[in-house]
Amino acid sequence: MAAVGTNTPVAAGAPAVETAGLWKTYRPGLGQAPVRALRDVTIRVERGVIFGLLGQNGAGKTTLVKALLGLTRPTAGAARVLGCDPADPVARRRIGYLPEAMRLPEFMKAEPFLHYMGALNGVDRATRKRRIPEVLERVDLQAPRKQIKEYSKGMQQRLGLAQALMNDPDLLFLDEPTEGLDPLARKQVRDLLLELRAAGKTIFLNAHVLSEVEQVCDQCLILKQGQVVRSGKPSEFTRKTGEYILTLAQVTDAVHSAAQSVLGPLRWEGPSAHIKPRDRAQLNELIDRLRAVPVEIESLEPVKSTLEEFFIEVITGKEPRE
Amino acid sequence: MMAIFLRAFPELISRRVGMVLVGLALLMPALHIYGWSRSLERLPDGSFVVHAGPTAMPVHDFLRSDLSNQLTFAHTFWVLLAIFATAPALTTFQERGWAELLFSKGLRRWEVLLGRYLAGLTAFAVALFFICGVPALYVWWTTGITQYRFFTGLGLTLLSFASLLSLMALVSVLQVNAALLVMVGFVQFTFARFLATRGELYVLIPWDWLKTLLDWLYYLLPKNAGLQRAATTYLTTATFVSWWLLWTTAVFAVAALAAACVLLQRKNI
Repeated sequence: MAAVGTNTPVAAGAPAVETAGLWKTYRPGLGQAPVRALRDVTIRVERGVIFGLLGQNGAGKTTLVKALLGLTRPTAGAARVLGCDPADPVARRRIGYLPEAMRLPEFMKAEPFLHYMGALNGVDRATRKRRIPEVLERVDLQAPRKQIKEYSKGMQQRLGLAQALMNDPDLLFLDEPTEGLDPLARKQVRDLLLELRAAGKTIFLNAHVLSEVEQVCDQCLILKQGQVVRSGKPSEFTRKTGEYILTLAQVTDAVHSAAQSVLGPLRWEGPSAHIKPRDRAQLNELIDRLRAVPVEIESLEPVKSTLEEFFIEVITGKEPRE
Repeated sequence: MMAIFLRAFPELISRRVGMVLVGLALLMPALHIYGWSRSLERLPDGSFVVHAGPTAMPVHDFLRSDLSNQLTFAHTFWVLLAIFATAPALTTFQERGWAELLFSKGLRRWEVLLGRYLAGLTAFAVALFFICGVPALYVWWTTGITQYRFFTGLGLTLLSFASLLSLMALVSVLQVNAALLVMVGFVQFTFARFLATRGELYVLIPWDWLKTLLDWLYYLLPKNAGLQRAATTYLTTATFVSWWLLWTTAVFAVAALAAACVLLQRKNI
């Protein structure tokens, strides 16, 4: 999609985000130990993906986002966004940002606020006029004629999203975009993210709700004490556990003895049981025995670990099971 | 920067103190003009007298003292009120949540600071024009007596305020706190009066190093009290006390603002 109202020469073909050995050390004050917020962070985010940034509170996620937006200067290392220095305001005109602890000017209304935000990114007036109804509709924000101070938390969050979209950015940094939203609105935001990705936008998502990251992200990264401890596709982290949930039409004594003959005693919860066969052959043998009883198999679902389980294992230092 | 300026201006006057400034800027000239229209009398020879109290006095004499009082008032009360009104303009945009949003946009931080500084200065200039300038223009129009010197005096008041605003801008980058800015503005305003008359205190100060220190502070800091005196002296005698007061204050205003811009640009948000 063409740039809106700006004609910014961002480096074509360059990755959306690239850092090399990024360090950030804060010096809180005299007599206090320096705080290393980022330690040798090297990442590369290609264009057109949704990238999830995970980590505990204080892991350095916000510092990393701020470094990528030119809000904070790294102590060492380099960062590039869209092939440009993040401190370059011209590059920032192609970026949208939704901060976590956002404060909006309460005395303003949605429309003038969006005009203002667009103007700061160099979007011309005619384009802003055309774009405002589009973005308001996209984030499903009703009653934009109210003053912002009258907005609910969810409405303010939607407006925050709308301002991030005003310049039709190539790269979006979203810090907890579903914070304060109801389940339906969360779904709308997830759909919006997928739509934006389909339009070729890159989204850098900083989120605590791991189920959402799992649903929308193509890549993710876990930061722990300022260091990258894991990175990859969420599907790589949500491994099969080797367990299955077996559900039968009915569980009779014959079923009990057939299953026990293959896997030993099982604990049934109604018509379902958690099973852990040694290998595929044993699983097939179980199915053959059950079919011979005869009994109908309603479902056999592999159990996968969630991203949340994986995240907790990584953060607490327990290596994930292979 | 223009977008910042255009947004900061209504933000400023929508605050309570800003509204007071706007209200007074509308009320004061109306009362003043009403008073003038009641007390001015045109004599058959075409000259004007002013009925102030039981006697009538020539308009030139009355104007000299009345406008001089206005300049003094503008340089004290209006400047102090404007410090209250403009301090938030220099801090709100640097507060957490708002700073991240603003500084992630496609403009330099110094443009944001400068836009808001100019909005504060313009708000004061407009208020000053309405409060003092409009009555002076009325007198000029009705009597034909030119008021160039009075407007020059208002210009000096504006410069004095600009220097205070620059100092407040510099402090705002170091510590984002509107109350602190108000205090800094007040302290500088008061301290400038003390420094302007420091010679009278030197008989009480036995230490040379302290006298040297006070001298240097006087050289470096804005000469707000000196500018006020220069404005009233120029109005009444048409002589300019010292250009040095003017250019050193202007240099301070520019240097402090430049330092604020550089520090803000380098600040970790």
